[in-house]
Amino acid sequence: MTQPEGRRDDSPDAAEAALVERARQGDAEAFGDLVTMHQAAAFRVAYVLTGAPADAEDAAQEAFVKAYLALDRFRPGSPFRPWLLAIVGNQARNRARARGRRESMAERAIAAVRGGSPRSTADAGPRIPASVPSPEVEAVSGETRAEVRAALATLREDERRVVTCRYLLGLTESETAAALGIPAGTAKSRLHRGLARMRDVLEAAGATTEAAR
Amino acid sequence: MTRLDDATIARLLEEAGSDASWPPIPDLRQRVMARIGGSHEGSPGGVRAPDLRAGVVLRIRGEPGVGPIPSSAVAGRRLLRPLLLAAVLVVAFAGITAGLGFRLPGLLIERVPGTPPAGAALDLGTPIPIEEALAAEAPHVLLPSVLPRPDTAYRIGSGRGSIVTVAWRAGAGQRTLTGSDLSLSLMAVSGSMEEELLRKMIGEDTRIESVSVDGARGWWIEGAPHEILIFAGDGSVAPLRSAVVGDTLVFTRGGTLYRLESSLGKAATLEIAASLR
Repeated sequence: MTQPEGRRDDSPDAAEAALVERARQGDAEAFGDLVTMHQAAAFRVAYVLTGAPADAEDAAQEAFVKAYLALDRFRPGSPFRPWLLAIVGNQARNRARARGRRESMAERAIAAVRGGSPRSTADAGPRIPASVPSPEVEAVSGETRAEVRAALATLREDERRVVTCRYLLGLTESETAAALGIPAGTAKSRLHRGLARMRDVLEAAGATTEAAR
Repeated sequence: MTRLDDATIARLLEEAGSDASWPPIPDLRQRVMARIGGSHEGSPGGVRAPDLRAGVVLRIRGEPGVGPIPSSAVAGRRLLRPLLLAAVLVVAFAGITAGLGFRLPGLLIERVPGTPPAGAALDLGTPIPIEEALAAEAPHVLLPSVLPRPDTAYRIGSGRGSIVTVAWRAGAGQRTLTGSDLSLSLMAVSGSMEEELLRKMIGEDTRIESVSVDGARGWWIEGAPHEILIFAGDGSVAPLRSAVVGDTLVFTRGGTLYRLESSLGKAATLEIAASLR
């Protein structure tokens, strides 16, 4: 598979490792540089998981603070970004669940007043009505991307998230697994299934490898 | 017709990603710096090597307190008597302290400029049968003799490094812990000064008071909500979870660190803690 432009692998970058070490010694400015370096990835991962920019911003900010406080738990020499994105993913999922709970409580209250049954609370994910595109699908705009967008929209949510993190956000496989809080093997199999499903949809729309070049 | 290969689909996705209309990236640096600016004195500075227990792998599943609030009349009656008993008993007290470095085995309490507003409830882990919680060797969970049997139990991690929590649901009209239907939760950790598994962060408006729990050192934390971090890891990634929590008593008994979060007030909470058997 191709590598996205500017994509990094998991090997720790020397400059980044130096910043991490300085931050571990209490240099807040060094940690600030790490925030600048990784805030885009952190925010977008949080956005994919929460579906709301405001929630994503809060989750990413909170994750950076928690990462700073947990730096003494970070293993020196290991890549920083998967570790950070695991915390970001955790924060984002917590926030999405909290929002789900708030909405569920509101629905129960409304149902109690108006009668009727609130919808199931079994799904703890972000409450995005089926008629509204998921945030990553919505982000893929433009006429030339219509087929990709349509194919992405057909994926199951868990597959779509893996595909999104891996290709739309340009994360590595281990970063994807860390951000989503799933084992690497699970991320790989969901990625495989997601691509297979997209292939079916794209081919049904008439796309071929030659046509796509 | 030539089938689309994975590389082609990947390239289409990457191209779509490169010009996708994501929301603008917020500048988080300033806000994060404002949050951590005064906290590094007590946190990563003077760090020690990560000491992650093998086998303590967190995969969050349980969502304590998120289900519908149960009928609590029975639990209320069960709790009423011990609480009345608890109300008449008191507590050792060792003065209000301030500053950094409040410690118990496995726990560091530190002051930070501020804690975030209440958000997600603390994820106590995977629900487990109460019998299983009580059968664990480490942490060995003692129960308060002044209370009825717990209503629920949870576990984070596995093996000797696991964290076990038992909890009691609130009775009718009783105050509940933030984001839950519980009135009391008792978390047990096999504590050691060498292994930090919990960290509490308290803001300027949170009071911390040294107390004695049946002769052992403890800390009573109340006032503004404070935050708790639970550490665990598999050696490569150290997931942590946090929540803003309410009044809490932390103390040790028999090599186990206990964290008793309570909506019942200091006197009752201390009495409950002292009755661990």
